[in-house]
Amino acid sequence: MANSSYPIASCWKNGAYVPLGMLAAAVLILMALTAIGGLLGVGAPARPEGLNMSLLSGDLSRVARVAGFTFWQASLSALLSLLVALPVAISFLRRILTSRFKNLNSLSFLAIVMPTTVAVSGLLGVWGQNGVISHLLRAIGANGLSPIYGLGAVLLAHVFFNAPLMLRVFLSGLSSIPAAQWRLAAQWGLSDWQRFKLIEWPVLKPLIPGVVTIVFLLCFTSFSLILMLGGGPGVTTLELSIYTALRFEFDMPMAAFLSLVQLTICTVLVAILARFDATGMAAIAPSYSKRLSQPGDTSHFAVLLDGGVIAAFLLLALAPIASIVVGGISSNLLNVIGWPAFHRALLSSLIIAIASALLATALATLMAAARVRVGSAGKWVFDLAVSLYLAVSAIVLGTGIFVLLRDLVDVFFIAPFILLMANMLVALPFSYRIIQGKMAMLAQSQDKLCSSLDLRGWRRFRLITFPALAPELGFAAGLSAALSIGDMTVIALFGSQQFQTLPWLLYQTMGRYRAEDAAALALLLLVLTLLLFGGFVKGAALLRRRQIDVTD
Amino acid sequence: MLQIEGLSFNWSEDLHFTYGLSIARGEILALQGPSGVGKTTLLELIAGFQTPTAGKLTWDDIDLLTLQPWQRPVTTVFQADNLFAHLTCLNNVIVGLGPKEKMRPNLLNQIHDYFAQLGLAGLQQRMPSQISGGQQQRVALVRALIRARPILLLDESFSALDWEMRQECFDALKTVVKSHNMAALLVSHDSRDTAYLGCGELRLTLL
Repeated sequence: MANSSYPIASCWKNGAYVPLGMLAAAVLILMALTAIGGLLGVGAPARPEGLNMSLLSGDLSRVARVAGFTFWQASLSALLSLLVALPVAISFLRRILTSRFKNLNSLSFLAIVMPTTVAVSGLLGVWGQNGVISHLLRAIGANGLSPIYGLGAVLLAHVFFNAPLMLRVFLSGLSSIPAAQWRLAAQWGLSDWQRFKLIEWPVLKPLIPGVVTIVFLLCFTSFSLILMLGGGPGVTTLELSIYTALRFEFDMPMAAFLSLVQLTICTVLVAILARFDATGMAAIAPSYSKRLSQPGDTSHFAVLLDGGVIAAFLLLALAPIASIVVGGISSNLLNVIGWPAFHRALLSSLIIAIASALLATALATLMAAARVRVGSAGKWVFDLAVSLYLAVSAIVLGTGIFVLLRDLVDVFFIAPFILLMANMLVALPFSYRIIQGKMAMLAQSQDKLCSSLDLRGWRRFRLITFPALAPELGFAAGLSAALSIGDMTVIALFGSQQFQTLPWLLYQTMGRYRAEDAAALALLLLVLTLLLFGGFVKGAALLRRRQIDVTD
Repeated sequence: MLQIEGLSFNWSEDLHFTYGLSIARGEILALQGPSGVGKTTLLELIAGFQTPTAGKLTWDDIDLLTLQPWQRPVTTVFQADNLFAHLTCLNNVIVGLGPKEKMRPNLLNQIHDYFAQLGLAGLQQRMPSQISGGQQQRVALVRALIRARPILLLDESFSALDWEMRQECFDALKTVVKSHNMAALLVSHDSRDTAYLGCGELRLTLL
């Protein structure tokens, strides 16, 4: 008689994935807890100069006000992004995805990978006091636009970044509608409203809570946009307040308390997100199927409505990019390329972006592989270890690291290493979600086959898993590199004259009102981001297409 | 000989199966019965994808239950998803040879012969997405034949093929089962299959 100790059902749970993945998860959880522990230590009531003293002096109302504004702007940003993305998704589905203009959809992806400093430069170029729209208004005798700072500017920037992200998720969902449903809809002659209610809405509805939560979370922890477009105590968020307390007020207990408030709220949000299990980030990797033409598609009203919606969206998403390109091509471009500061920042940014992208992708792959091989009771460990870094934002992490290490080493000396680690950890949740979904699908469809063909370990990874997973790996690495090269969060804490990155150099150049130099630098950073993102995506595609020698 | 005695498996408290059968070398046995009666479960137990709760499973008196799936003398052709999408049809066959087996010219010739025999001539360098579902199943059969493990499990592998093509696959199957002295277990819903193969059939029922 067989007994339950036979390792038969666990035939594909071989290799070192699970122990290595568990080790990585343990290190990640430990690192987050250590950073949080460091913050708690600073805020301990036992310290006379600590947290309680600060709060007694009336700072609690300041914290409440800042938390309230952070919540308010994130709510508005998520809602506005949703209101933009939903109609655009329907119009794109009808007009763009099946047309020869389908590449326009890829262009909207530029906003997702664009560095925030570059985006601000582009948004100012379009919507600013001296931007394109102001020039056009003045040309027809009207008044130009007011300066874009404050809540309006923050909302505009958040919608610019997040509406394309939501659009991507919604289009992936809509593209998964089976062709048979479109055939039935065409055959039954369903009206636009009936089609939306019966076919499109049931696909969109389950996606909305997850994607709205993740956009809310991104806006809640938004830092550099608020730093550049906020302005004044009325438009400041928890992240910015932590930065101000740490870098300018040298109020460590307050920075620690604000970090803990932020961490608590984000943890709740991440727990909510886990409930929805966002198809979200996995769905932003493009993969579209065709929608059949429907009755009413060619009516004048529908054509005009879709045309208007698409044009307005493209103006929002692409005009700032066009502004960066036009503004950046000037005589200052060659001048900026010659700056020694540019060379130093370029080298730092490239090394950190490539290293953090490779590390984040490798770690995400290891943890995703371990997750599919561990029993269902152990999967939460990997999800928790990764999701922690959605809650522990880069500023909170940086503050925790600063608190922990300030008495041990010169934190500015090890700033590049801290930046590399922080960028890797911030990118990890996104890389993990992109890779994990495909990895689970591959395991489900290939485990038995591979097991029966004796395809295991390195041989299976090299011949089967890697080529099948290459698009997701390339996409995850590209996104991680883009996030890293555009990051201006941890560098704001640890940056110095000796250590700069391109976004930090751009921010400083903008701060010195050297608009033309800043425009040139923004263009260079944009091009570099796209080259990095495209390089990883194309590189993975080339690796996938290479002839695989299965005989060795 | 493949011998199964009192091999039991529980999907749940209410759904459990017990099997007993034997298949000699050179024999094909068709497994029939309604959906949910446990035909695929039996194949998964033999292949090692499921753990039985009790019973014996032996091949020539070797206890298969102590072996991992890749150690068992078994090849399975599944109902679908038999091919790796990123490998050519030829590489999909070669990858089944295993890490220790070296590619020899006569083996390559044999693969090409099977491709021709099963109506796949000229498709060796095609990707799975460039051939039909029926052709994909036949490529999987070529791989099973070239692996030549003594136990061959076919889980409705040819149900999607038209009758004419199914007959060609069965011809190849009969030849290779005889020549390699294999034992084949075939899940089938079509009584024509057993008639054409001239094999024994076992009808599973729920008790």
